[in-house]
Amino acid sequence: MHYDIQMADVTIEFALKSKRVSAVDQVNVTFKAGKITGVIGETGSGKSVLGMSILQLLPKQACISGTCFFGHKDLYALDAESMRKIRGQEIGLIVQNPNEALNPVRTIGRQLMEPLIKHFDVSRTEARKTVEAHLRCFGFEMPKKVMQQYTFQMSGGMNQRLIAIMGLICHPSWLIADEPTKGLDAILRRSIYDVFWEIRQHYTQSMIVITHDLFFAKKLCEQIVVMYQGEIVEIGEAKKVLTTPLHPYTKGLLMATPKAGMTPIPDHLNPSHESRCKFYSRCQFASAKCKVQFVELREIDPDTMVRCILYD
Amino acid sequence: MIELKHVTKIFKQGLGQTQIALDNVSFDIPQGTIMGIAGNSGCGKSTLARVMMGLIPPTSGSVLLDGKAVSSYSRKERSQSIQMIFQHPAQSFDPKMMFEHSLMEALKVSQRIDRDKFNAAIREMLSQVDLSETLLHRYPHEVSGGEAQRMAIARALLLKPKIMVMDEGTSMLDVSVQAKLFDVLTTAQKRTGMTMILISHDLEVISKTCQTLAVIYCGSVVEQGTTEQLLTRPKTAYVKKLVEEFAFFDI
Ligand SMILES: Nc1ncnc2c1ncn2[C@@H]1O[C@H](COP(=O)(O)OP(=O)(O)O)[C@@H](O)[C@H]1O
Ligand code: SF4
Ligand SMILES: [Mg+2]
Repeated sequence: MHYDIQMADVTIEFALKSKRVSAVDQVNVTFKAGKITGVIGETGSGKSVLGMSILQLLPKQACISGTCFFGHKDLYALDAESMRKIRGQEIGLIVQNPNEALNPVRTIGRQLMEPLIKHFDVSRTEARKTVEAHLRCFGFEMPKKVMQQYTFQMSGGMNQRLIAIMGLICHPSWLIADEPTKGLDAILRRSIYDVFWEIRQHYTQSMIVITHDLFFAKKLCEQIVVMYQGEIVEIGEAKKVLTTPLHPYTKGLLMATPKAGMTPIPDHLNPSHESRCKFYSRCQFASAKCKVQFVELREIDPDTMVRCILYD
Repeated sequence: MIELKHVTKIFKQGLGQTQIALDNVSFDIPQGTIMGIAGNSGCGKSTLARVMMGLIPPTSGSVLLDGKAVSSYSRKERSQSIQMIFQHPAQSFDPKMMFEHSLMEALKVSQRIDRDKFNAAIREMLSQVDLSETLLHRYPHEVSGGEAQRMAIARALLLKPKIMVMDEGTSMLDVSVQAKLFDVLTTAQKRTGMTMILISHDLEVISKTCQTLAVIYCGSVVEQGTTEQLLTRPKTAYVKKLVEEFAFFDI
């Protein structure tokens, strides 16, 4: 059964020694089953914190309020044991850094077989067969040999494919990927795209892809969520958001891409305290109305939402 | 002007194994131009940068700065001629030092001027990279990646280098932060007339900023020329593939 992931009034703060840092601010969003949703926005905008909260993977100092429903279960309210059953089996994770997910001192075969043996009642022979099939599907021509090797013997692209297999080996109905293309060169980036396409065709279409790579998101995703300083500022159909964006911040992001000429988003245009819109200080479209009006995320049409008074 | 003449760098890897990181690389970069060096991770780009900086000696061949071997420059002369911005700003700053201190230290190495002049120079430079002076009293971990990178640029510019090398300086940053950095850098380049070398795996960034380009594959230069020429009429299969991988995400 494929459920949506429904977040309501989600606020996440970190209680640090001297202060509280707000990472996610009153977020309401539904990640629809059967769709690839891209979460974009600049570093520090809260994308990863939002994504990792779904699997309870945030450090202890994180204070979460709100709900995150997956079917009839609120994932934020689950105890550790129930969450362990969700993780990997119902919602898989593809991490950014191969070093985090892969163990350098154990063979690739052992690492990939272990979750199958642990979570399902399968024999080693069955587990081995399943792993072999997955390796073949992701372009490893000699799976038996690869299973006896170690990750340091693989190229960067191969390790990227291995962490993808790691995330989906138990066939979860959902996948969350955090910055799958960060820092990668053109050829690896393209091979990651192919990996995700493969996943989409053969495993699951329900995915949350957290990324700052706008063109990767545009090519891969169906829905886009744009975050700015912990808030969602725009939600919409991917091609639309990334060709004719509505929110001034999304417009600024696109203008900053090399293709559009790398025009930076200006800083300090207006004194930030004058408005409740978090983008006000950098917004070229700001007007007197932005100082008085309450700015909230509003529906423009059933697929599109934007947080900006220009669309009231 | 920088001239690389038949530069080869071979690393010993123990057990008698060796790795050829750079294989007979030659090119000239005229003063005041911006050159891009592109290629995939691990192809030798960073080794090339370190050899140009005189940080590691080539196994054979030579690097000349204004006609003189870079290996014969003193440390001080080198830091006044050539400055480098790394991928992770953390690599450029002492984590236990406030930015103000780090910037002062850098100035002390190269010039003998009094404290007031230091302060004036630092503040002037911060305004050029569009950073607030309040950041001077912060530590590297207390600012964003983009801010730390602009601080590194400010410090490099304080030394008035003739050449600035940036090694993947924006590959971990998002587009708006990247755009800001390049804006700051190209403005400084126009003002000072310094030579700039941008090392990146991102052909699109290079195409927007660099006049000339060398593409490296497995330690060798496979193509070089004007950026326009290379990207619109690539000759080798490798550069064609690179151009295609970017075009793929265009639609
Ligand atoms: N472990 C943590 N402790 C304190 N603050 C954190 C922690 N993790 C993230 N944050 C803060 O939360 C905010 C959002 O971070 P993050 O979700 O990582 O952004 P993104 O993924 O969009 O780059 C940032 O201000 C960041 O500094
Ligand atoms: S509400 Fe006003 S300040 Fe905020 S994004 Fe819209 S126009 Fe700009
Ligand atoms: Mg992140």
